[in-house]
Amino acid sequence: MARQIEIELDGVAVTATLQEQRAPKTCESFWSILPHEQLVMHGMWSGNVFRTMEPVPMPKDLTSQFKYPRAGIEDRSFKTNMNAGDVIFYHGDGINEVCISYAEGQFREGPGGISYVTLLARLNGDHPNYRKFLETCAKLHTTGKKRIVYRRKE
Amino acid sequence: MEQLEIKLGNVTTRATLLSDAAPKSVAALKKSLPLQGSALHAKWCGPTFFLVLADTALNRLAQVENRIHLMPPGSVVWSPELGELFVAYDDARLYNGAAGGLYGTRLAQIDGDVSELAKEAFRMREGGSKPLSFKLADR
Repeated sequence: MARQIEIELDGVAVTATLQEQRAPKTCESFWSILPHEQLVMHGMWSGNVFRTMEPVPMPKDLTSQFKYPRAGIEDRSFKTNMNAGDVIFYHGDGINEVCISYAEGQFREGPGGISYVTLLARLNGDHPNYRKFLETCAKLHTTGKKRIVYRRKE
Repeated sequence: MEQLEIKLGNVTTRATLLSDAAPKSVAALKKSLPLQGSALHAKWCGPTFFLVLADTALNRLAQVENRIHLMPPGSVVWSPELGELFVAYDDARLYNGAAGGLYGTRLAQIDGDVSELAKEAFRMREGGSKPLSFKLADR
């Protein structure tokens, strides 16, 4: 079974499945830094998506390994659009972000347009808190920043 | 020139109405004033916040005048398609979600520096929605 993580946002926890077949090195790196806790806030260019406010401390040698489809991105599925429950990793210009979409999203690097991202994990839709978690995510748009915790689920 | 007074949270600023460039839309805006509600920060358009309007003179005007897609800092833009009145505090773009770009009507331009407004908008992103109001400024 693929490795599982638990994500807790504002007291609501859900599980997600790491997408190890698509991005084994990125998933392994993320797993290695867990547990990871910080603040998240809603994005302003990419739609129904929120992001980490501080750089995620992925190992330094991770992103330099990947040049295609763009620097730092391991997933070659050319993913820019995001669906509800996608957990993505973005590397750009020295920034490491983990973002979660709770409805339709399309990753954009500011006014410059869309960018490729790595699909890191997907929320498990059969988890009893799945819907409540997405509702909690959506509230970030009007409530402001909240604390998130990523943990290993072993 | 007539001016619009915009208040977001604790920051008040003035914008010059662009009556010559967008006469019908500015007239509809003036009929719609005063406006107040909870500001929402854009999810798709970048550094801009907006008020959703549902039943104002602006909503009854489908035409886009003085059209704009790239919203420079300080621009006040009405989107007939979205029914949203935007204030940009840095370079922003008018998007209809993932479907693509839109044109809106540039109604007014904030006079001078928008840095205090930008700080308040960022505080809104971090701390949650803030009250937003528009009224015709005293001369």
